[in-house]
Amino acid sequence: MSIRISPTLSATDSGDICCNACGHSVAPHDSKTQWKDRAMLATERVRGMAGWPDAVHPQLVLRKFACPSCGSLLDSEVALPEDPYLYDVVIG
Amino acid sequence: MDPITFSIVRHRLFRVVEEAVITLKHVSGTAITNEGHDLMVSLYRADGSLLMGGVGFLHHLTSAAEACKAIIRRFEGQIEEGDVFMLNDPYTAALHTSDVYMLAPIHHEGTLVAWSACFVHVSDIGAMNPGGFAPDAGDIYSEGFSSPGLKLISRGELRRDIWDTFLNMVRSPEMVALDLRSLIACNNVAGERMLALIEKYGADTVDEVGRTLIEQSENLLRQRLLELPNGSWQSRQYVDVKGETSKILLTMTKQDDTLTFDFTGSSPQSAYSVNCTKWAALGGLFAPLFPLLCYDITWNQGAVAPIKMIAPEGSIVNCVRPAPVSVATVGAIQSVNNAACSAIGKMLAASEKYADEATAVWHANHFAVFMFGRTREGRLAIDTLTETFAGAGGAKTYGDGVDIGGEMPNPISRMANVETVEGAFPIRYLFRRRMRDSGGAGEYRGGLGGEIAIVPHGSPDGGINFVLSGKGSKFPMSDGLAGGGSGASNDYVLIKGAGEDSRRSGETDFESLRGERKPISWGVFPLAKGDAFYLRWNGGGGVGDALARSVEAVGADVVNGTISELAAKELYGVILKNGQVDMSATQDCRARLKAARMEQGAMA
Repeated sequence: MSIRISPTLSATDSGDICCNACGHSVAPHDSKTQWKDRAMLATERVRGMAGWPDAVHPQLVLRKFACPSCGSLLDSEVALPEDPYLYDVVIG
Repeated sequence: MDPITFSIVRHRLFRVVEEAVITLKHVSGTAITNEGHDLMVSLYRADGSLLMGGVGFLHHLTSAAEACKAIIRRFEGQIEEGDVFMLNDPYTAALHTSDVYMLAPIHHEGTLVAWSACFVHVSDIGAMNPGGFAPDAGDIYSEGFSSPGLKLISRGELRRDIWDTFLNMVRSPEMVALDLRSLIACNNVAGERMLALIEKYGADTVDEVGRTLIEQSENLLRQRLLELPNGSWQSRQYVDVKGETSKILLTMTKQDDTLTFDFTGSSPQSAYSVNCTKWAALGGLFAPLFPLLCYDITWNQGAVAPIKMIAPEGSIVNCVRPAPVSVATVGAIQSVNNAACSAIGKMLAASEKYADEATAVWHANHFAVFMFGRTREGRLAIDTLTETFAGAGGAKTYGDGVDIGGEMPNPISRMANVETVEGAFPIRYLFRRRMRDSGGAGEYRGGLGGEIAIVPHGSPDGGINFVLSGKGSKFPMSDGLAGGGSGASNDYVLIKGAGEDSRRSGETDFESLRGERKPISWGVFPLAKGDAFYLRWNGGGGVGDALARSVEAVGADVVNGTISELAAKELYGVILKNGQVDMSATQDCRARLKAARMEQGAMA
């Protein structure tokens, strides 16, 4: 029986966290591994993105965590570059 | 007790609060209360615990409980029938000095049976800047009158010495007096209706209903938590003031039937007045918790029991006296709101049963503009721009956020009509509209915020001044969910000197505003003849991958001005030609953007 991790990810019976779009195993579902560390990360500056004011912090970035297999977006966050990823852990 | 009587008494308790809110609004004359609904009314048990949480700003429900308890401690043996107490010290229980709590004990046949408590943001509190928000304050001593508890009315008699002393310390005392009278009237009605309820059903019955409701709420919330997955979820907010960036870091852990909000890792308290106290932080996390997890559960002390908060002393979410806190409600408290909303939203989204209750963060950045100056009639006045309460809805897991859709912590917030503001204060709006592209991108996009520009109009002094506690425009605060983008951030621009045409005719959007543009965010600024003040407020967060949004929905968003063609292309991968979606080009564009995530990305 799978465990829902988020709208984009599920933990399967095999013990992996998988992309809901393609089923690719992104990371093991265990206490040692954060799935974000195993995702594809594309980072872009927020300043200059469509709709944003010029006053936005010049270093602020949008982190897009995508499935390494199909490219589906799994999660995103805005952050200053020096700040760690936000980690979510679903035990079930 | 028979279930019919239980339901009737429960319903009557709701109605007591509702009628008290109506009374408060009828007596108050300020835009911030009547239009913005910056208010709260609730009922408390004899020991000060929350009996029936009302509407208005929800982060006051638990803080006013603490205020009741502080009064009970301070005035032990001196709480009598007909007394009314006032408290506004943030280090005792209040959120900031300008949110004045008025607390009235309710006695039945000589016995204290309950409390009625309410607040409004008074027109002024005597802080160094008009209106209560004091961006220039370096400590609590500069933030105006502050009391850990005083008896304003003794056995039904107003203590004129205290009344006069207080009004002697504030600007615009006639409006502040009206604020205080609205609070007193509100409590009078709440007390009368509670006694009528007790007369009809008996004190023991009403008390039993209260106790049962609290037990029910605790049991129901614990049951709901048991249905949600165990785990931990993180969120982070940035607060910028004059180049100082503070962080509010939250790790929310759900274990069985308990929920812990841990703010360890948040920044030390700020030199600026964006800090909040421990009670304010606790109230801040309950503001989204009540509507998101207790939407069908009575908001009372029972719903507080399963919740624990860890807020390191000396941090921006639990500052130490005499740190300044006057901007807390739009500073650290609002960031606690946002962080809690984000973490709870992620927890709900991880549940098959409750995924539809999940939401991205709603309107997350109040701008708090207090105007002051002489009215057309020559009277000194302080007024607020209530657009800050208009808000923007966060997207859900099944639908878009509502444009200008309010905010999570205040279910009844709204903004005044343009004409109401123009009639009361010597300003004129050049425009007020939805802010295109401000909603966070996503399969379901965030609701739009808005934009306005105002100019002085008919001021006997040629212009006015305003206090801006904008905590900067550098960071978005309406976080998205499951890949959805954040709502675009606030922005504030003072446009100096329009030349001869002070009417600024034909200036109907930001691009057409003429004059020297000066970005501002924090402090006191003049709005002189010929100047204009432009501001935009944030949209709600989006949910899901923007490339998964239906092409038809994106096309419709462009047609109705919700998003630009540029955003359609760059964020949603939708190409329009002559106002129509080009399906072939769109498919290519979406494939290209998706591939770019792989080509430009690296293993995190």
